[in-house]
Amino acid sequence: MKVTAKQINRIDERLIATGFHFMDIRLEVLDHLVCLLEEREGDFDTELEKIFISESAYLQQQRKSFLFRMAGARINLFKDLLWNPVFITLCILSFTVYSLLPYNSVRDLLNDLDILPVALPIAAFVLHGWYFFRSKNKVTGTFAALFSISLLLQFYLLFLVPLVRKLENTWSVLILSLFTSVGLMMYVLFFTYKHKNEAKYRKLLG
Amino acid sequence: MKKQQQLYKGSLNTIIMKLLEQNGKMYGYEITQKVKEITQGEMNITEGALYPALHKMEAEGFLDVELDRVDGRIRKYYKLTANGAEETVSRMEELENFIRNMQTIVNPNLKIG
Repeated sequence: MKVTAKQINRIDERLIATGFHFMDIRLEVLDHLVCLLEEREGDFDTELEKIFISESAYLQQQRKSFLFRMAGARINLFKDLLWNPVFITLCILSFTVYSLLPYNSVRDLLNDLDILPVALPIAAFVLHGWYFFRSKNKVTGTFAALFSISLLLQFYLLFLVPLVRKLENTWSVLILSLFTSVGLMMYVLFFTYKHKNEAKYRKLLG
Repeated sequence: MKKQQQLYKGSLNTIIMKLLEQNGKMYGYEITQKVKEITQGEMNITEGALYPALHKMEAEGFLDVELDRVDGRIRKYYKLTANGAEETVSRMEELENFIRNMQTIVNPNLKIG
């Protein structure tokens, strides 16, 4: 049978309603289901129901794959993060700001601010959550920075905070500035990936 | 038939790579149909096995993805990367050796090649 644009839209809506929130996963499932429908003759609704039943194992497997894909879509740490002009600018700015803060000693500064890099991206987590529930066209890759940067900040929290406290010198401020910038990059990369991914699919969807 | 599927299972990635080498770019459903067609229905690649294999090879850098708009929907095409093309040659050699060894065991009197 020939599947119309309206019917494709209906299948898409149904996939969203059944948990296919990410477009990059959904579009392949949608195409596969439409290919199966095109092979068949008869009433669209009846055949679609039959396909949803016969393909239930595949659908369930694909639905669950989003967590694996989100975690797997890591950012290119060197290219996207460290070699990024925005990151380098943020590092310089952070170091300048920390150096200009009216603290008597590095020790006082660290006492108050050594956890700041971990606290800064909290709003970015909220932003990711908001985007997850709001957008129909979100892609797993947009969430790549969430996992990679979270891991880097956990590393900072577990291993570098004690080191920063121990050093109590310019190196401490440098490490603090570096990870403050890593935390801030969560915002930058979220908007970069969101824009890049949405533009790619918007063009294809016309 | 089911036992035969088990034998094919270990060679799924090689089969996909070989098909992509021969056909340039293909989408998931097309791969399942092509395998069915070549083997005259003897071999059936399930979606549950095919797509995870494709996604894994994509993550490993053996496959590249191309998106295209086809009949009102987006289609995801897979094609081999330069790495993937090299890997296909090596896997095909491994598979040919395996087949040769199996043949020697199963039918020692038959000479191949």
